[in-house]
Amino acid sequence: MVEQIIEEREIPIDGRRHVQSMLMRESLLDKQVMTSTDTPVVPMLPFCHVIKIGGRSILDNGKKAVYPLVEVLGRLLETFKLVIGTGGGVRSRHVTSIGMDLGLPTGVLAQLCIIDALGNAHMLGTLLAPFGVVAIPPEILGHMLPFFIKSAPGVICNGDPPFSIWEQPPRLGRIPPHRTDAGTFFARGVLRLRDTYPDQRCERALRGRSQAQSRCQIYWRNHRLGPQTAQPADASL
Amino acid sequence: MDNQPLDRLTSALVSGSVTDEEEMARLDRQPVIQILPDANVIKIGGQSFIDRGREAVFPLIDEIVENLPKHKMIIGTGAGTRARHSYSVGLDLGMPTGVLSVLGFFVSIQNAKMIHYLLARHGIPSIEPAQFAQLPLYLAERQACVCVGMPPYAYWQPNPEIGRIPPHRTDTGCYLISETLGCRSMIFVKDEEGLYTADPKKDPNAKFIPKITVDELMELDLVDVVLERTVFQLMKNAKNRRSVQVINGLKRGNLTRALNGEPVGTLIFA
Repeated sequence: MVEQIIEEREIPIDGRRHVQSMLMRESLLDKQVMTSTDTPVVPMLPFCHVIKIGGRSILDNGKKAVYPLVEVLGRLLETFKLVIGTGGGVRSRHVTSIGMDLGLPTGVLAQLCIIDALGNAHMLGTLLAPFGVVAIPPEILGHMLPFFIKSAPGVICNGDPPFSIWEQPPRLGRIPPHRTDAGTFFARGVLRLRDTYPDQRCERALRGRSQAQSRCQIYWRNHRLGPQTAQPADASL
Repeated sequence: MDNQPLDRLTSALVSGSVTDEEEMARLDRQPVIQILPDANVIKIGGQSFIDRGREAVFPLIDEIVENLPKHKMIIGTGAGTRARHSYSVGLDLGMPTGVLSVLGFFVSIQNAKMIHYLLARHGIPSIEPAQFAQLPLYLAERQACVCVGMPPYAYWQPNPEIGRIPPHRTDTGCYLISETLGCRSMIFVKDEEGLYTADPKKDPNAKFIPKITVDELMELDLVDVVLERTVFQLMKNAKNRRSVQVINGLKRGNLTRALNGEPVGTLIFA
């Protein structure tokens, strides 16, 4: 094996200096190569649940909607490890409309929207602080999450993916397609956390854990294929 | 100060559902501005270029320096063979796509640092995603800036349709910079003349394609293509950058010709 590596380095056949690996000299765009990479994935935080709290649907409604939810979350935190993502709500919509009127592109609108969801995460984080929930800045969420979630019952962060100016232009118009639902859902995917529950459904779903997964899947499926054009979750999901 | 389109847009966004795409697109009347219309985005390939060492890289650096008086350049870097190595080890260890995305980002950083040090004596800085707000200043002052090609998607990298390798890598990252900032051009520097019907390194019968639309390209459904497939889909949705050029950077003068707007390599457009 060692000899082989040395040989590869000394006689580069195609002028490129390679490192011996399964994907060496392969085009990662070759469909056969891509298929060969379909292998099992390790679960990173299989004991956690992800909950996305809506911006406009919950937080913007003030204490009448948020206080009862905080009570529920407080009770759940006694039993479950929760990773909570927040939406940006009405302020994100407002900044989007001004930004669009000013001619700003999708990537800039995405960067602006992150800030509102972050503000909401701070507010809800303040209310959940008595229960030991830690608010984590998005830059360190990924790598510090295992540490915080082992030490605290829950963490809270903005739901957006960190795409910012790398956000992808949508098919129609220019509203960022990957918003807080999508961001929370992607994070769930990589960390192999448990299901993403939209808003108020969390308690019911978590309490009936045996059926939780299928219920969550049905929720997404119904709304992805539903007849209405307006969906309760980001269409990019 | 009567701005009725804005009033309609604001009330639709604030009271309606943002997920109603068609309604929102109808209200979206203003053209998208070009934030850096004079800047060209140049992506230097990892496996195809930087992994060849000085033989390939030094002449390209000279050519970039020669073009500094005339052209503004945002220079992004690919990842290459070390990314393939870390993807291989990561796949074997069961790493999810989001972690592989972080690993690819790291290799792209290494390449950006090397290109940066080769250009440093010309006062050209290198930036990471958090420093993009300084990019306009650097371009105004020094005409060029080096950046990491990989988009900072990290754990939020969407899963690919096939396999587990991150679908949005350095081609996509550089392309999205050119689209969002409304740049003058997007030039991919590789070690082949451009797009072929198959990988010319493996198939001697591969035919060169000088010019092609994204739709034609998707219809061909090639087993292997010169750019990440996600770039083609993004080009179809793009507001600013609807064409990209793939050039052979090993041939002296190709980059200059591409910067001057000449047809060199393959032009892909939507």
